[in-house]
Formats: sequence, C-alpha cells, structure tokens
Amino acid sequence: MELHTQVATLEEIDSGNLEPYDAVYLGHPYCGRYPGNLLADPGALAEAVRRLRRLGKRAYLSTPAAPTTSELPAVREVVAVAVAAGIDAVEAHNLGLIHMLAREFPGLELHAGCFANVYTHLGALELKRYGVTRITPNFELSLDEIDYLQEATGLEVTLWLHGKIPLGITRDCFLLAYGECPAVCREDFWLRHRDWVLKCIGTVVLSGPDLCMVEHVGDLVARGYRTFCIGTLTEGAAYRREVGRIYREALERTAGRGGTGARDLPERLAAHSPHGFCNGYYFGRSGRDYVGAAVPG
Amino acid sequence: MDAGAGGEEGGAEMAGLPASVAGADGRPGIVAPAGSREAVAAALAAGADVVYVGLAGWSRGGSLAGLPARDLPSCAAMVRGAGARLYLALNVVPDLRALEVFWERLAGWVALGVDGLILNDYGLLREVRWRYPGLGLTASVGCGALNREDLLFLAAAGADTVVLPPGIAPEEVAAVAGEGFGPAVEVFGRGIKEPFLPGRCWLAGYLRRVAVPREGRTLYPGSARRGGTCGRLCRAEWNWGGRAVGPLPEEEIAVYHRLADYVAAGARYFKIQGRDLPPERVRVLVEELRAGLERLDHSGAAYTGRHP
Repeated sequence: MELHTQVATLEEIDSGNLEPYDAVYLGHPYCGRYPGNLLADPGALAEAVRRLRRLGKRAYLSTPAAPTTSELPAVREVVAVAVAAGIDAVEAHNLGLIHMLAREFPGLELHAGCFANVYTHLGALELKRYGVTRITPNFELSLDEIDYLQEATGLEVTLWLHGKIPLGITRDCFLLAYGECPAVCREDFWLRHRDWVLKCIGTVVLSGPDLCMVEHVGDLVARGYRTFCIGTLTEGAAYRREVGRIYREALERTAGRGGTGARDLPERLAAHSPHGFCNGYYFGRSGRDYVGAAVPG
Repeated sequence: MDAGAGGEEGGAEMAGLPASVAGADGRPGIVAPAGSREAVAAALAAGADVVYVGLAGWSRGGSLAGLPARDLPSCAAMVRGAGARLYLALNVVPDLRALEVFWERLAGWVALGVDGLILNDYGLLREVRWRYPGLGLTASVGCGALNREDLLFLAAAGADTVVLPPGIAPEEVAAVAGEGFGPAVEVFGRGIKEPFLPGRCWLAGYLRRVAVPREGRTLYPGSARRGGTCGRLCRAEWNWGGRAVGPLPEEEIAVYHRLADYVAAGARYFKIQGRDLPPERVRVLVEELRAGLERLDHSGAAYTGRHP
C-alpha cells in the first residue's frame, strides 16, 4: 500500500507534514516560474531527495506537464540530477517526455501523470512499451472503467483519494491579467458561476470542491487498488498533514476491519474543504457531484 | 522495455507509413471541414486537398457537426472524383469496454472509401495502424502534441500526420518539425485557440455530464472527448475572484498572413476548423487559403514541409 502526495518546494519537505505519506512527487509540473519550484533548482532538488531518504520516504520526480521543444533540454538536465541523487521514479504527463526519457534514461522507472490522457487500455499498453509502470487514469474515467484498465494492462494504477482535481491546463497564465508573477498565484483565486466554483492557479484550473473518497476507501482496496494520491500541490502545510493523517487512518481501519467505519472522517476533512466535496467522475456522473453519505459543502 | 521505439529513425520503422497523401508534389495541402454533403461539395469546389467529416456519436461536436452515415458513400465518391482525400474525424475516445463496436463500424467505413482517420487516442492509433497499414492516420490536435518528442512518440504509434495546436508560432513549428524523419505537420490555418490546451480539458464533464447508452456503448454528451459536445462552459460569465467577470480567455486565429513562414517552418497541411460551418462559409475560407497558397506558389517558394 502506498499513500503519496506532492511537494513543489524544498521548504515544504518537513517530517511533520509528510509523516502520513510513504512517498512524495517532487516539483511543480504546471509552472516553471512558481517560486522555489524544485524543477527549476537542481541543487534544491538533490537536497529534497536526500531529505526524503532521511525521512524514509520514496522520492519521485514530477516533470513539466506541457513542455515545448526548447524546454526539453532543461527537463533532461533536471532528470539527470534526480537520477544521480537516487530518485525512485519519474512522472511524466507529456507523451514526448516519456519518449525522450525512455530513450535517454534506459531502465528508469516511469509513471504517467494525470495529463497523459490515459483513457483506454490500448493507450496504457502503449505507455507500457516505454517502460511506464504506473499510470494515473484520466479523471473522466469511472471506477468501473479504471477496473477494466487495471485488469487489461497489469499496470499499477494510482487513484486520487483527495484533493482539487486538475481540470484543464494552458501555457498562458490566466492570472497575469490580475497581478504580478509570481506573487499572484500565491493567493487563493476562485472562479464562480452560479453554484459552480473552480480554483485557478494560473496555468491550471482545479475543482473548487475537493475530490473526497474517504467513505469509499474500503471499496477501493477491495477492488485491488494499492496506490493512492492526496493532491496537495497548492495547499498549505496543515492541509497536507491533516488530510494525509485522516486517510492514513482510513486505510489502517480498512486493513483492520475490512471497512473504514469512517463516519467521523468526512467531518474532520470538511474543515479543510471550504467548498465541499465531489467525486462524481468515479461514479459515472458529473465530476462535481458527490456520492456518499456525507453532506458536501 | 521498448525504449522509446529506438529514437528518431526507429519511429519510422514502427509507423508503417502509407505511401501518399494529397499534394504529393510537395505543395502544402488544405484540410477542410464538412458537416454535410453540400459542405463537402463547397470545400472541393474551392480547392481542398483533404476533406474531413465527422459522424454523430463518434466525433466531437455532437449531432450538429456529424455527417449522417448514409451520406458517407456519396461523399467519398465526390471527394475521389475531385482527386482529393476523405478523412473521418473519429476524435471521440470509444467506450473502452465496447471496442468491438468500434472495430465493426470502422471496417464498414473503410470499405466505403474513407482514405484516412483523425484519432485522438494514441493507443487506438497504434491498433488501427496495425489493422489498416495503408490507411492515412492523423494524430488529432487532441493528442496534445507540443514538442519534437511528442511528434516522434505519435509517429511511433502510427501517425503519418500530427496536428499542432491553434496559435502555435512558426518558430515553434520549426522546432517540432525538426530535421530528418518525422510525420507531416499540420497547423490550423483558421480556428479558435481555446482557453486550455487541446485535449487537456475535462471541465465540461466535471460541471455537467450524463451517461447515455447507445448502440452497445456508452456516450457522455457532456464531454467532448467521450461522445458529445463540451458545451463551451469556459465561455460562461465567470466571476474572477471579485476582480472581473467574463469567460476564460480564447482567441480566434488565422495564419494567412504568415503562410510563407509556416511553410518554411515545415508545415505540410493547413487545417480549417469547423465541421459545423455552413457550406458557403467553408467555400470562402478554403478559397482564401487557396489564394494565399497560390500567391506563395507564384513567389517561387521552396517547399520544405515533409510529406509521408
């Protein structure tokens, strides 16, 4: 069983905040100009890998989700640094990066991220040809479809348990119209229309409500999933720590009893989700819907 | 591990590219949209080299932009008679548990005279290439190609043409097209640069989606990539943190004024977006683009665009 999360900067690597997690994806894949982004600072990246090692965590490297040709050499360089530092695997959202990394770093374990658009088992098998061992299926897929993907490919599947869902990516930062880079993306920037709420972090728009699967952890484990993600890329330390602890507890309860007995857990999570919960894609409905007993929002 | 299909030249061997496409003399080709028989005729009359059509339920845009399947044979005959090529935009990812329905239909469409397909799932691309080695295969803009390595990945999967996103600059096209082997590069002559990168948005299905069983598979009319229209929810009047109200930014693009730059950069095809356009509008847009390319021709331009 692996519970992992995301960390963009060296400052965020702290034993308390990361205590619930087994592994961490390093770097901000959506913006090269994000302050302190480990993908733009090879020295800090190497130190981050060392710190995770000392904490007994597995260290994975994330990579830019939408690189242009001119940005590829820098990615090659940062991957080389990570490999030298002992990184356990590299996550790529971009098909071209998977092509390049498979060629230039033979034997490197590759993970396909959420923007790699894994919709079909045929697509997943194509990635497997390049040495990809773990995939994050596209968020639009339902759990039944993901079950099929897992069975048909034999690949390890990462399921997001909690966090704001990335819904779209652009190369043109939306926030530059409203403030200076990089300060503007440090603010919480919510988009609203009717009762719809989204969070804009510049180059990516996220769901406003948090994807929340705490009521379904037992079912996910019973379906055979063992690798879980808590999305915390743009969240604070308290969110990363507390949400991680709650899901660690849910996983341990599942292991002990065959069910989460999780009635109290949604309430504890709600304190960190001002816009409520969602999980609809997993259940074949609109992504923003919530399926479960807890009252979202 | 297949190790990335063995680099640039390896991609050529795996792609199994078909022998020819429209404009095999090296001149850039025009890829025109059509949502009806009349639009197909208009595109051909104006000088399109490739006409692409969609089929309701199998193509983005829903029923408005889809050609009735019964019109496919006559459209194929029209296109062939004009010496052009007919491509089918199958840019909806099929229900992965009902792929047999897809293969059955595809066999019928190919038998009707379709020259090529536009696909946006890279796994499906490889499988179609294996089953139909002679068919033209275009990696849709939804495949998300942005860089040179993307192009090589998609070539290895079986694409002979790769579409780059609307609004990409000629300098970037040159970097993607590169030198040596690679598939043909297609750019948007006219289209919309939407807020998010093509193929990297699932906002619509997040906000509003239903599942509809149809013909042995499941469509999701709230998701463009999964069988319907996206509804352009990005164009709603969003409140931007109390600082402004308006849609997510998008831009209409036309590259007619820089055709020479794009051709020099390696663009082989110019695509016009809009299978829902009325026939008269299709005719005007193709004529404009044809006129621009003819001016380029008369200027003695050297064509560098690769064609498979």
